[in-house]
Amino acid sequence: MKHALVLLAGLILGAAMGLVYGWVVSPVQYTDASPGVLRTDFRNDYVLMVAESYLGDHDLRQAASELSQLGQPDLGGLVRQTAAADQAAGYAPQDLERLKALADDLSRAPLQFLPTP
Amino acid sequence: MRRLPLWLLLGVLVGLALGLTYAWAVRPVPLSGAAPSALRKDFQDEYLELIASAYNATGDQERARARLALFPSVGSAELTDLARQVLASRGAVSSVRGLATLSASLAMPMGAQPSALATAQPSASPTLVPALPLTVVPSPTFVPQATPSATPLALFTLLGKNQICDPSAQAAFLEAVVATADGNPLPAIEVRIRWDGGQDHFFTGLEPEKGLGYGDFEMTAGVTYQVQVGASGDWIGGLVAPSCAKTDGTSYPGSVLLTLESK
Repeated sequence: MKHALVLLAGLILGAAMGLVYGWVVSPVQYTDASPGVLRTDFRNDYVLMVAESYLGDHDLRQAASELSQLGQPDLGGLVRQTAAADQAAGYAPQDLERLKALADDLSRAPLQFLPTP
Repeated sequence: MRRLPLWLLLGVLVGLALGLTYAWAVRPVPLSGAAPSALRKDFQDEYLELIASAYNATGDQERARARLALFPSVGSAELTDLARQVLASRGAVSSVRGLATLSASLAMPMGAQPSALATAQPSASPTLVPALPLTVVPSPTFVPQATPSATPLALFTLLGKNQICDPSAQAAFLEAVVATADGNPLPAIEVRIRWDGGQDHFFTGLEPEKGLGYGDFEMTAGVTYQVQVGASGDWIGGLVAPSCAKTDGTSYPGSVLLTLESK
């Protein structure tokens, strides 16, 4: 009985150590991530890059395709959220205008025009 | 009683294995907050294309450089390689132009911009010039021109059309060197080629070691080519690989060098 209790205590202790090590000390390192898991600031910059690129080529299909990589179905909403975040972060007015222009065009585009995420 | 530490050790080891298995395999920490450099290779390439495309649209070199800094292993050469890959695989003109322009900007001092982007913000002139350590011989075999001086095109002026005989060359090339009127090389200029039964294109700036305004295409001996520099320029016709002679009398196909200047 005493041996079983000691074994159980060891199991609990070992499991706790394993979880701490595997989740905190040395968590799984991802190397093949998709844009959908980008850190928030990188994600916002990704959206801004799409808006800047759209400024140059006015290719809404291409812009929608790039935004869909982020895994959010409402592309116009995604761009508007980014604009709000960038405004709060103090981005230049021209950046916000570019985002607004893209969001407006995405909102006006027919649904079938946009790619399925 | 003496066996108690053994049971404890056994429990810890088994527990540790179970805990690690759960933490790494069964329920790993969910992926979030990834940096661009942690993206899959193809997504990284798309991210780089997006940086280049945004730079091409805005001309904001400082921002482009800050974004590129997220990829410590990517420099001018890597962007040029990516531009070549995109050109070969998808032929996406805007992406290739953006990558070539960004690659050229990285090859210049901070603050200087490739001429293609410098119209809005005049900046320092790049110092690189096309380096062609070859013997250039004026060709008597090309399409006759009224004068050897400039031929007007829609976007570019043809300044020179020369044959190049280089016995050490591996192949015959149709080469183009494009620059602004004040001599700044122009990267990311699309050069279209057509011949009887085919067509292709290349961009300047994808071989920066030969100059940012330089681009080339491998010619086939005996085929007559036409070339269009820029999106809407006139076609330059009658371009054939010249026949050159080695010192022992044997012949080989030479190259053609077009020198153009933006209006």
